Amino acid sequence: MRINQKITTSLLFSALIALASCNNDAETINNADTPFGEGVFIVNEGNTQTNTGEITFYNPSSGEKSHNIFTKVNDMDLGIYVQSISGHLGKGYIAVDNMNRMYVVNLDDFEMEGIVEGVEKPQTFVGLNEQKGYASLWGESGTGNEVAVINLQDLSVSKKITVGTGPKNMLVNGNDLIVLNSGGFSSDNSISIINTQTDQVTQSIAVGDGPNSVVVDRNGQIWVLCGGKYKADWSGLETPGQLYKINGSNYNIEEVLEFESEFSQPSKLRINGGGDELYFTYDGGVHRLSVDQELELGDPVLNRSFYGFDLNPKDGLLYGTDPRDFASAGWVIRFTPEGVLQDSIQAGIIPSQMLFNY
Amino acid sequence: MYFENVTRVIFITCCLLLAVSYVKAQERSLDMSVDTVALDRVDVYAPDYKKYSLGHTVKSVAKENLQEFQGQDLGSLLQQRSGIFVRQYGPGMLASVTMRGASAGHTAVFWNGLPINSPSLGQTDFSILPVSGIDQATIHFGGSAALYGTDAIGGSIHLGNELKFNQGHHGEIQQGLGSFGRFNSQVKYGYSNGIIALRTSAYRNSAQNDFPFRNRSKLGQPIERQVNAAIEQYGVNQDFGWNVGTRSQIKNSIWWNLTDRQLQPLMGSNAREVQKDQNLRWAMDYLLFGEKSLLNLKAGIVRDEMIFDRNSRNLVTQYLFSTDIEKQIANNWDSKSGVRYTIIDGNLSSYRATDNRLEVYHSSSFRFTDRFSTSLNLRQLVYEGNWAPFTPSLSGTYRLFKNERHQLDANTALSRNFKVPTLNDRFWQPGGNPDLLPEDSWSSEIGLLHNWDLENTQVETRVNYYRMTVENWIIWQPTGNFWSPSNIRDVTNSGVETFLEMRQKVGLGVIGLNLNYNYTSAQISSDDNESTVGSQLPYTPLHKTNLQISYKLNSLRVFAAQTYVDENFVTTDNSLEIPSYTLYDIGAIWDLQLFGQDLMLQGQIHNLLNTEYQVLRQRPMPGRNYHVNIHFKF
Repeated sequence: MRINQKITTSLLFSALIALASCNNDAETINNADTPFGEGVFIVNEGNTQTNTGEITFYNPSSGEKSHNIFTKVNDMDLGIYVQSISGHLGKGYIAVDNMNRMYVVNLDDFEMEGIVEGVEKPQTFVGLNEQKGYASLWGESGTGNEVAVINLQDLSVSKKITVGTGPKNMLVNGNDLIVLNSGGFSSDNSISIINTQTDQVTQSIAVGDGPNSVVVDRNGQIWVLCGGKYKADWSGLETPGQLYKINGSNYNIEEVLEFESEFSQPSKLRINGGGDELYFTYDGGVHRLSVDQELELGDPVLNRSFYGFDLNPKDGLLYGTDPRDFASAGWVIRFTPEGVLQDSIQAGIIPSQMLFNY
Repeated sequence: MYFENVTRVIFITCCLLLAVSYVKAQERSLDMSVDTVALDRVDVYAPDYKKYSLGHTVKSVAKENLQEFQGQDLGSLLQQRSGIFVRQYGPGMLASVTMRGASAGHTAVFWNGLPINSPSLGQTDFSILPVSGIDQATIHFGGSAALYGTDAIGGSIHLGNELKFNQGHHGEIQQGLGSFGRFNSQVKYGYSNGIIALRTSAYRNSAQNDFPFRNRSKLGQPIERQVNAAIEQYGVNQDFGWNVGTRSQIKNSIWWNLTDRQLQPLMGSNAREVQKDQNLRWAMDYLLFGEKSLLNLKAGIVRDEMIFDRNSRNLVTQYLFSTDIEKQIANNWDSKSGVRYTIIDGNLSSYRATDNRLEVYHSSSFRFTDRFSTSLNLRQLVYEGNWAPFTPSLSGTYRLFKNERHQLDANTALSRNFKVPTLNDRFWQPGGNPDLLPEDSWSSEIGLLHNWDLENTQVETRVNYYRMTVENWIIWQPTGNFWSPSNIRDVTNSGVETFLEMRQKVGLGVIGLNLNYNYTSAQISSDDNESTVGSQLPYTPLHKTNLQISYKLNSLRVFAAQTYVDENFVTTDNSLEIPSYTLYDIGAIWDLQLFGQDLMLQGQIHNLLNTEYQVLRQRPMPGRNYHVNIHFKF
């Protein structure tokens, strides 16, 4: 059946190529050969009714989109609580929390190339080079404290490095890997610095509670956004959110912006393509700060809260997600860097994170 | 608002006055008419669920069906025999029912008159109710909150034990085994004379559930065996009936059940969770029979402990006290009035809470003529100072036609029904919303009941059409940093229920046919999320059919059953669906005599055609499987 399908598909492709060469239309060939590739991969987490997450592909230049591309291409399901998709050297690494797996796909055609097993509740992946990448793990309990070193040649776990509790987002900074210890299902307030040559933790730096996102700006400064921590009875924040500006070479803390809200946790720190403007969600809106000016929170760029939020570094457009009732198809809504509504794209169940593949 | 409160106060006062006057009357009759006793000398008292629900559809699960499912759970029985759709998370895993398209928490469940829905979760897991633990099950289709209280929006299910006097010593031993490591054993012993009736039963059910399934989470979809789905269940039932003098009776029932199970993970998931449920239920009744009256004092405890993954402990205990007086006011007027007080003490992993509930109720059935009778039920519940909706229900039955062979009745019912928000809804930390309103429902139905009686043929056909709305439907949604429930959804349900029962004598044997067909439309009529308005609720199939055909010849009974479930939706915008499936079962039961004692041999094949299906997405169900049972009575 599958062989037949492949034959049919390849016949179709050759027909298309023949046709295209007649028309001298190079674009058609590219689209047929690589249906995905450049564009936006949207992670849909999935809920406990669908019991599987999915990936939607959206091509901003043509406006085309495809749903359920992992299932369509590979004829199998991803599983539930898809945490993230990360791009590295033409491949996508999809971390699926409940499956304790990472799927490796070719970003051009989304064919699965392998599975990384033995990663408990994987959160995110960061690739270093052709040989090595890192996956942050929450462990079976959700309060784990390990980062797995992945051998990208055979997709095995070559080592697990102990960091703080609930490592999630990570960033490569020169020879270092910066790991944000978000706390997982518990709490933590530190970031770990791993030397990627030795895969040893060289430093642990205390920041605010619940560090959730990190970017590096054009000056090489590291920005870490901390969400703060809720009181034990959840009646409000025990410690409010904080934004840390950290020296990218010696990791000294240079400046801290304190947030005032007793309820809202700032999160999803992103940076534009130029590396000079920070964006993040806070208090029912999206805020913007310039990396070179005094840290002071002004009015939000746009007044709307999102479940997921990302920034397309190519064109600077802001992508916010609205999962509606978390049990039906959600939406991705696009805004200009100034917060002007552009358009919206229907995605899958609980759209949350995006990979901008350029 | 003012008017409503005044009405309530008047209603409650009337109920209390009625109750007091009955007690007075009762006292008088005690002295005066010792020789006229309405006490049944054979059975320990069991309530008649049809008495105050004229015009409603109240059906008992057939004894044969209970026998067929010995050693299995009530969820499987309902799924395969009752027309009700059961959302099964796997064999022996969480099973919640939906009646008339209402939610899992919209079915009230009772055991010997005690409400056993978990006050924290608001529903019952039918997989931890083993058929071995009960003697009878009665299903009330449709809203019945005026009769039974909170939760009875889509319907109610009543489980109970039956105990008889004057039976001497008697005992039963049962042993079954089946595919995928299934074992079930039960021992029963009872003794009764004219004064007391005692019975103790103990059972154990277990299954490995290592059934093969197609793993859609792996490349090439290989067939693999299920892991982490084993179940072990123990239970003890103790029933006691005592005729205290000639006019009163004490009835005492205890049911302890422990279910220790691995939670079948989602297809392909490596999750290895376990859950241990321990349920203790105790009900005690004091019954005082008058000439035309019955006083029933009831006390009960329902203690549910659930330990998730060995460390998260949730304990909820309900203490119930109720008093009601049944009185035949006139030859054509039966009535019952009562008060129930419930204390709920919840000690859950994320919060502690108590809830005190007081409810007063009244039921009356009038027979206007031989052809026309009605029931009126009224109930008011107050929880922690909050008034639940005042729930009246009015129903009736009218005989359209009757001759020697045919009888045709028209039925109708109109009722208001409600559900008090669960403890989790109100107190869960974080997110619990103490300001939630009760879910509020109006339901109406009309139906026809036809009985056809010939010498060799009996056919009973029942068709109901219902319509109901549920407002203030509670939905959990994220509000910033955590999930919180609110009364955001309205749902409109309508549907048709069909029940056909036929018995046909053929020579020395009897052919039996049972058909249940349900058409269930459950549409979201109002929601925050406009893309779901007008769509069918998830996991609510439009069509479901149960068909069973049996043939009984002397001591041998063979049967075949079919269950059809229509395709149904996974998401609230109906963008993702689960395919339809049809399952077949066959079985035989042979009663024989061994050394003068009864021996019953039973064999069944479930999912005969080895159909690959899922009730809930990504949760595989077993293919063809076998079950045999030996039942020895002495």
